[in-house]
Amino acid sequence: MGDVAFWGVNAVRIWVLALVVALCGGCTFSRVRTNPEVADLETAWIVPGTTTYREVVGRLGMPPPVGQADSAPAFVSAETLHWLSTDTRIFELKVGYIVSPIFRRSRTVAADDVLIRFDDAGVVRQVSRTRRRGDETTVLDFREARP
Amino acid sequence: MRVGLFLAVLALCAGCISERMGYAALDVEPPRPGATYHDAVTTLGNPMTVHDLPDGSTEAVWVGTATCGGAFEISFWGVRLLRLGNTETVTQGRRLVFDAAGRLTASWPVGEGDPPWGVVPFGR
Amino acid sequence: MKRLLLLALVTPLLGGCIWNRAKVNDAEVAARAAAIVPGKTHAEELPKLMGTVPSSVIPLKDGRTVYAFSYGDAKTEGFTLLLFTLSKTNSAFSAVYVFTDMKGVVRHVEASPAPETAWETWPFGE
Repeated sequence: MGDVAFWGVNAVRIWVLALVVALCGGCTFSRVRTNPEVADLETAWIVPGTTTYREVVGRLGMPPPVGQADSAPAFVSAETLHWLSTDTRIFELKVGYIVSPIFRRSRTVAADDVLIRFDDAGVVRQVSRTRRRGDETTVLDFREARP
Repeated sequence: MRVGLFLAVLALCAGCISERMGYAALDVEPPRPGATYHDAVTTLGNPMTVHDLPDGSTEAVWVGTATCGGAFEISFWGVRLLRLGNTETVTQGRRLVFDAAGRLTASWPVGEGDPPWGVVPFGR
Repeated sequence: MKRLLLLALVTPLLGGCIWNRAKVNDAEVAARAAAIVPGKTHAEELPKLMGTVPSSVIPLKDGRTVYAFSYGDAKTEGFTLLLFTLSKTNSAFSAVYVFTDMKGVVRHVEASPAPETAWETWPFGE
């Protein structure tokens, strides 16, 4: 290929030039993190079967909404309190000079997640805490009240 | 051959958009019957909702969204003349039911499979 | 001439700095919640006291209700350098939750921590 030429210009150079021109749309790497403070919540002090709803709220505060202001019902109920932090990684490529197709890949995962379940008396019955980094989900804490 | 190449170039010009959130972003097999709630959390993370059913069993639901589509722009010297694009989003998830002993007895998919790819926004 | 050429070469490197701020609802609800008196304030008075209607209304058991007043803040920082754009958005929401009994009387007020967001550019890493 090194010997091939078009209009006196080396083919490899033309290929490189075409690639550079095509990439003139640009690559975008972006990331969105919501509620990162969830990673620092302390839950080791919670004792399933003993700790109450008021004690949990008194020490951890209420769970924040995620993504939209009206999403609170998804994270607060009589039976559960759910703290969620999300991590979104986005790659976008606009290729081309006049006609530019858009290539976008986005993945959103629950980076840190604390779910506390309560019984009818408002006492903690289960604490479940997970963390996701890359493709791995790790359970950091999982304790239940003895029946 | 030429027609195939032309169609391939045309398809490439239409772009590709893929966005996944929550359950749809996981690439794992759902837990098998007999698995415990802890097993499910280890595989899928915490569910979005979990509550007790009247018969003493527990229902947990994991949800997410998958978006697929394409878009392209026609511009010249920084002036955008046309942008054409279309995406479709579907819910994807899984609903698991654990009996009173804590073992998985039922597993249903929530929502549909992956959405189709398309770039034309007109029509139904 | 050399200076002009240098300027022409350097200027694209300054091409795109990105700062964007997105606020959702009114963060002052957290301070206004101090005016709520548990045992006295009624649910109907909440919009006037808080300066806004609740973002969500969550029914609890036994006729109790939670009124959530949510607000949020997101900061995006990034830059465009020739062919690449890098950016990171830090977003946080918070809410004041007002618990009322079945008669609509406020029993207690709780809140999630105030949102803290930082200006960060680098999107990679943990």
